[in-house]
Amino acid sequence: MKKIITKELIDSLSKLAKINLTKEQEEKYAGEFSSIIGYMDEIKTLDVENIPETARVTDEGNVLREDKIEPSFDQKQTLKNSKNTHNGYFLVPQILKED
Amino acid sequence: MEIHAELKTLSKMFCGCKNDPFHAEKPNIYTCPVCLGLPGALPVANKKAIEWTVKLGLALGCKINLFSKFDRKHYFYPDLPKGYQISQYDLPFCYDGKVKTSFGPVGITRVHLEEDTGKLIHQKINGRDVSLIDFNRSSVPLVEIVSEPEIYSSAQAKEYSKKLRQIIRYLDISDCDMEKGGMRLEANISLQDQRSKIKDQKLELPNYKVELKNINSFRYLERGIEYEIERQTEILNEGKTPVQETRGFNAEKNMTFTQRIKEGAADYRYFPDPDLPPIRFNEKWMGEIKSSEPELIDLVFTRWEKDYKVDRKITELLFETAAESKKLDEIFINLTKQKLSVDKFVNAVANKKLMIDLFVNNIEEIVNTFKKSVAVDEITDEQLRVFIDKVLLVNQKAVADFKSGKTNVMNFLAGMVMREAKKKVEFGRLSKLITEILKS
Repeated sequence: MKKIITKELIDSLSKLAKINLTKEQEEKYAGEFSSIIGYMDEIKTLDVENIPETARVTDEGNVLREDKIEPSFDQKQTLKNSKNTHNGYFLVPQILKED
Repeated sequence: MEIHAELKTLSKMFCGCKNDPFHAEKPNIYTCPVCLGLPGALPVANKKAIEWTVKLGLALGCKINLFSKFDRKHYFYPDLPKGYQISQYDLPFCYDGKVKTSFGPVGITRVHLEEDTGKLIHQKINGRDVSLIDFNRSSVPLVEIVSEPEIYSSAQAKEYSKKLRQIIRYLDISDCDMEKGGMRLEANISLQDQRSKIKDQKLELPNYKVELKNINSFRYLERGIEYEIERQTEILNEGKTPVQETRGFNAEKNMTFTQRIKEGAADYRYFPDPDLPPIRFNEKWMGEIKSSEPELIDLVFTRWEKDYKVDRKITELLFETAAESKKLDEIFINLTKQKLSVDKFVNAVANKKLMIDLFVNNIEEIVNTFKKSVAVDEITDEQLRVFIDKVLLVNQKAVADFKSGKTNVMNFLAGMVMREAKKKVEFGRLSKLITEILKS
């Protein structure tokens, strides 16, 4: 099977997903991803000439809510599962820095 | 330009949490599994926010996509807990509109609806640089208005942005509070040698753009663009291309600075949000939205200019919302019926000479207050001359001043005569009489 997914693509995908991979993993996933994507070639052989394109499996639409306020969590509930909080805020390492 | 405005719906975009981030007593109190991005939470779109977006699109002369949807835009940032922002990609609610500016029309590429992110506060705590996150703003409905690259100066960018704010406030769908971040301006700036236009006839866009982000005042927008024009000119003159990046504006230093090097558009990995079924506008629904659309603000000004000979620059100062413009209409009709000058009225209000609240007091009160303020007392020329003689006699210095050419002492003299007579007299009539006497 041809390698559709290159090591470079795996590298850029892992960067976007913020997942650090070892060289071995990159190698391994390039192969596995290729075989998964390669399976699409098989699907492509199906005759879908008369089937309209869609991104959805149902015909549902206009599932909307009226503009009404519903009860929220309180602050304690909101922060309950966070290890790092400060005065009612979530706390994370600083990410924006001026040059 | 890319302009964001937070819609002032009661509840958030995809959940029922209160939409009031600026007045929340504490951080993280208007939050729930949906706007905290907890796994398994199901967003449901706010109908009003969608209708308001379409309303705005119609006011900007846009076409409406009768079939539309929400998409996921992926990126990592601590203020975006899901790892994606729900936005609109290829089927925005509105597209292809136009906004007039005195420098020429500016095309509107699209108007789409998305969710705002949480708010980050950068601080030093116990010697450590940290960011604090408040999700009260997370998932607040946010409209984004994208213009065509048809803005050619900082002054035009400023005028365009101000005009958009005026239109949005007129529709009463957002407070557009710039200071608090309820309205945010972004300018995409790139420069081009105009000589290349003559050579190629068709002007192609430069191969780079610098995004100026998080601007919270019209003045900073203007200054930031001016700085960028200078900075980029210098780089281009050296034969280099400016780096494609996002920059912020530092008002104290009056300069822009690098915030982040821009990722390509494809890196956002947009795809249709499977949690949110698409939106189809049928004739009935569209009819309802259209019938709620007020008369276009530009048409209101043109109509007033024509009917009442009032200057747009003055009437613009008097109101914000469509409901308020309707009340002004009623006041104008009333004034006209009573043969009172609408032009004098709007000037008196704008100059704060008439101390009334147009949108608190009732029309009768307003008209009567104005009527009183312009009313003149009955007095004959003969009677007036007696008072004038008296005033001129005791104000010899003013008389001398007037005769030596200082004509502005007329205001003083006229005032003195009215005080002496204890009557209100039309200034023109009075100054004519005084001049006659002085010259005789």
